[in-house]
Amino acid sequence: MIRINCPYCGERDHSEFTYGGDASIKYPSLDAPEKEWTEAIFFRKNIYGKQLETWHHTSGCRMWLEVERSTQTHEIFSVKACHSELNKIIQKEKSK
Amino acid sequence: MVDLGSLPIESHKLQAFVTESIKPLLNHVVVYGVGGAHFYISQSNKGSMVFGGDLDWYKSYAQRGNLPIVQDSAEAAMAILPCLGRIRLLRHWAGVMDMSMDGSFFMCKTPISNLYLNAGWNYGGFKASPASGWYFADLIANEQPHKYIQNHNLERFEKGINLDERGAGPDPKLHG
Amino acid sequence: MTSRRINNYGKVNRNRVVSFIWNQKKYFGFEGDSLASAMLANDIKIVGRSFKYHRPRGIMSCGVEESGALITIGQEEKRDPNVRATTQELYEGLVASGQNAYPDVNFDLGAVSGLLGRFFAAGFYYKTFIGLPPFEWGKGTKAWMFYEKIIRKAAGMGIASRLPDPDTYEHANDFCDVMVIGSGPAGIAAAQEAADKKLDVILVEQESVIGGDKLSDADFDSKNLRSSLISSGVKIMTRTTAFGLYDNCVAGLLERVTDHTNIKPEYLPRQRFWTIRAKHIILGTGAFERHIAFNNNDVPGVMNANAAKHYLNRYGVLSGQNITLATNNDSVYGTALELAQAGSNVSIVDSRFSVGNEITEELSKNNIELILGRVPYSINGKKSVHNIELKNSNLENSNHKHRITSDLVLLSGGWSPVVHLLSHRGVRPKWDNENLCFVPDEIKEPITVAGSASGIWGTGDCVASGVAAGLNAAKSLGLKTTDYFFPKRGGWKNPIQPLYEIKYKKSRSKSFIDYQHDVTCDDVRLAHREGFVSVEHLKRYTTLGMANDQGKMGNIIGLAVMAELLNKKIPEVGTTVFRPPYTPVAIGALAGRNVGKHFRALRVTPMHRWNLDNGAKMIEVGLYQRPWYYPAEGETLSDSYIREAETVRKTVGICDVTSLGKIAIQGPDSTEFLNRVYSNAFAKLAIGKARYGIMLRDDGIVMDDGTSWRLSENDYFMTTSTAQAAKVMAWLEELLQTRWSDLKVHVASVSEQWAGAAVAGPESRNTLIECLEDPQVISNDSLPFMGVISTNLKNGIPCRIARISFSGEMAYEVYTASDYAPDMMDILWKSAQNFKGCLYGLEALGALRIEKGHVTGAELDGRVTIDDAGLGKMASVKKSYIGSAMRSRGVLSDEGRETLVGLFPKNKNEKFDAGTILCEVGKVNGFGIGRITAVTHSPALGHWIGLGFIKGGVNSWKNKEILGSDPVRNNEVRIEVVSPHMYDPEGEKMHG
Repeated sequence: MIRINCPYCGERDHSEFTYGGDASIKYPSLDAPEKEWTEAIFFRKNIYGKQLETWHHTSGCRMWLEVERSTQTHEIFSVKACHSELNKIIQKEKSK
Repeated sequence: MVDLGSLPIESHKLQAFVTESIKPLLNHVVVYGVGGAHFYISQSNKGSMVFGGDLDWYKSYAQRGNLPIVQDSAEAAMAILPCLGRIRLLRHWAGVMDMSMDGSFFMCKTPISNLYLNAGWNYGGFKASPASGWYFADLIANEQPHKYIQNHNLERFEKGINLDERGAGPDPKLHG
Repeated sequence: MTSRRINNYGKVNRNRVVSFIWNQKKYFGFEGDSLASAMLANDIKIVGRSFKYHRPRGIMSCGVEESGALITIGQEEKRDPNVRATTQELYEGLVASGQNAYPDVNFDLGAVSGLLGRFFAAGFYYKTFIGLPPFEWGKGTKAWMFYEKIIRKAAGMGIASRLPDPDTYEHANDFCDVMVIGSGPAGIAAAQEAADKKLDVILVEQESVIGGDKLSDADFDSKNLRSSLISSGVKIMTRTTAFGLYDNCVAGLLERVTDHTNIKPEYLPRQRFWTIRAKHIILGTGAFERHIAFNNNDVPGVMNANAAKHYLNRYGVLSGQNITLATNNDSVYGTALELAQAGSNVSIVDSRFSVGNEITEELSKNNIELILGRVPYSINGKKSVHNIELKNSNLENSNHKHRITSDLVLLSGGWSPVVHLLSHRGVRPKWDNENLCFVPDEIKEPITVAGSASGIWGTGDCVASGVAAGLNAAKSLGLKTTDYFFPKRGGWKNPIQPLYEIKYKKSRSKSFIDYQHDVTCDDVRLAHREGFVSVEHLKRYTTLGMANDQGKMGNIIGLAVMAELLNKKIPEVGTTVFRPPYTPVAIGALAGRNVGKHFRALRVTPMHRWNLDNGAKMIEVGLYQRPWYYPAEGETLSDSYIREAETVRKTVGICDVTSLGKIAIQGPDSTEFLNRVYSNAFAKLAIGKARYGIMLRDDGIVMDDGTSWRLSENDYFMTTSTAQAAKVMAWLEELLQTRWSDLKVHVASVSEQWAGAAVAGPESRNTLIECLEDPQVISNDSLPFMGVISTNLKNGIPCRIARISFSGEMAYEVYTASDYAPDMMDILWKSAQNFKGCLYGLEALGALRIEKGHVTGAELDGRVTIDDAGLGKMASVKKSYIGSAMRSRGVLSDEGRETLVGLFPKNKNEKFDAGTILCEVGKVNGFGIGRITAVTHSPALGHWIGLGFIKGGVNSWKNKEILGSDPVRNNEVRIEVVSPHMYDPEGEKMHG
């Protein structure tokens, strides 16, 4: 069972989450040319080893998380909220 | 693109399950996809029930699965064949599935000269292997794709040719 | 084998006699017996037949590695095939029968396949694919279709019941600091140590009592030990097998709750599947004793040596009278002494040439014959052991054959640590050449191995390693500990000598490696001759290790034979990977409670009860139950939905639309947000107005259609289709959290919070007027088409009303808080009845929308662009939005794409179905030129109509005839193509 340490809810089974996708993708602006969008939507590096991905805590706090995980061993190296401001607030709360 | 090190393929894992061998119980392959379930089962000639269904849903090369899918597959098995409750699972493992962005394979040349690609079969590779061999050999020998595989190339996305029978969209895990 | 119960031995409860049935005859045992020990006590020799050759098999072990005593327990729907008699606890009334034999295991006609053994050697199955010689050889075979059936009938061990499993199974979860798997000396010491450090410890044991191998000690007190562990705070789970280790020290366990008893209260499940999340795992899983491969080593009356000790001291059963032990290691000597002291004549055959004076003296004191330098060569006997032939250890051929008359042969070819659970974690075992076994290699996860599972043999050393493991776990969890050390591997006084196979003089011998699948040494050699030189190929070609025991007994011998053939050392040959489950687990246990009607959650609307009370027939839409039609007395489905649709078009109808997705969108950037996700303009939507919107995916294909209502400056209410509700919600959250974190918007799913009803038809306004506190609020001026208001129903119930129409008639959607749903329906329905209105369901709703050409998920199936769906006007050219950059790429903007059309059968009396492929006349092949997505028998038009897609759309096929081909339902219909707006094309009725 992959255990994900949700910053808000704590460590949970991965079955509480829905898998997102490749978190390293930077989506272009809405008016960017077709070519940029094609690359962002359809092409993936598919890394063997440590890589960034998103998970959505659908059965919990509904936060989208950016997780650094190895596709080889499933070990998780870091978990943080995708939303940078949300992340800052959580870090601040934790350091209190 | 492949010269930059990316392809429209993600590696996911699919678990397979085998039970103890029993005398003949099921003579066909049963497949169903109802209520969000996705499931196949058949009986091997040795007598084991062989079944499986959904991907584990996260990218992996580890070739071993986790418990939530074991539970889901067992539930799906029981839904279609309630007598399976007392049959025992003997072994489960996982294979690496090359899931593509639209659920269809690639059999084509690539931007790198003399590099041909035959991948992205999702989980249909087993059944397709023999036939795909012929078409791939033909492509390599004749440098031109056969008409059946004409659209099965890396350029189809920019061309808007979506070979997405399921209509799930550009997310590999949804084509499981 | 003359096995029998003796006095003064064993811990079974002799005061409680238990009767059981074996092959329709009644026998007796004691409380505390296993089925195997009770069978031995009754001198039952043959308990099963092997898979391929149907050779008679007896009881071969005392544990989960059993390959001979595979029994069917129970009858009818509670029939359990392939149960190991050695692990089945005996209970009053247990019914056991032999399997894989006809008429029974004692006399089995199937044994004839043994005579044809030459043709059923390993790989025969694959060779049959090549074809029957000489006609088909090499060309594949048609005869396969015929004899496959025979192979299938011959295969399989037990017969499974076809009746639904009547038992219930539960799922349970737990957490702990340390999970100790195995309660032998090492496991118990580890658990105690961890508990002393105040850690949360769970001790898991597959047997019914703790002790592990100590259970074979005459003076071992399991109960006392259990109490002391419990008082230290250890949670003990017996009859529980840890069958798999998964990521993050999560283990899957199977607890057998009532398999050991005939008292099965209703409130208890048969078995429980546990998922336990530990922080550290200690494996005290012990080791298996290996057998030795030599001719006829499978005759009933062959067992592994340690089993005899367990049967003696745990169950009080002396497994034989004239016992021969064959060994290559020291472990059998204790057993031999005990057996002799219990009254058997014991001979020991040791392949080594010296075992030291201490042992030899002890043996002679007990009248045990010791034969050094000999190995077992062949067993004579078919259904039981008559005698065993020996030969010299170090001579290839030996004329002098020593023969011992025996009724029981005990084998000990070495010990293999149980490393299966580590294998699940990808830890490859490494070969220890001193101890001749595989031991765990480096482990990177918080898992520690203790005792025999790591190749430590002496009991004292095992205890010490358990203590060390406990301290190691404590340290890894951050506690301070004293120093600890793990004892060295091994511990035998005299070193073990390799002994895997004794070759037989004849070219063909039956020296079994895998007892269950009848894999012999010759089979391994055959595989090698045929080119299968990798261990993975060997396994699959010979099926070695693929039976119920998954190679627990025979794997190492197979590797040794292979190693010899390849001229390699055993570790160089490689190993196959052990996979979960460690022992087989019932599928019912894995499924748990989610069976039958509980397979999936049932979703109902807050109007569910109300709908049923008012005559609704329900239909499943995904997980939802939605009203399908409301039949009047004697009406069929057709009668009903036609009446409902006509009533809606004539006067008024009320429909439960609660299952639609509903999302609250709030915040100063809500308008900008909606403007980005919808393809049509939302930037200037007035407050108090709703708008129909189309959402595209990133790749430009239509994702969903719905509406959004502007309730105030920064407050919106969005509806989505039922099927896409969850997906759209997740999508909006994804956009806000991962791409547009600068937008100040909050979204919340309110699907459960709101109940909704559509009030549709020419009399809909009049109907509603009767229901409101202030009827003025829905006058045509106050609530124009697409307007939104919040108001109260007559009895004070607050509601939101939007004047939106899906049916194409003048219509309103009335939403209220879910708890008020039945009351709202009461009010609406009472009023509607005054206008001779009706309740209508999904079927009528479908008919109405198809007549109007309104698209739903059936048309927007994930492959269709906004232009394909005839909604191109809704793709704004003034802004960029999700999908705008991609929606026109390549062929997506081609002329001649399949676009939305209406379809009539040429002959108005004919019908067609959704899924029909549209083809040009004379060109019925391939993918055709289009498809039908939805059909209905139109109440308004009086004949079947359909919506679908066709290349080039209406303009290309007006006044031309096409064919609808439906080979699945054996139908072909001539079709004409019309505009999809087949009724009230100007949309006048909605705007009334």
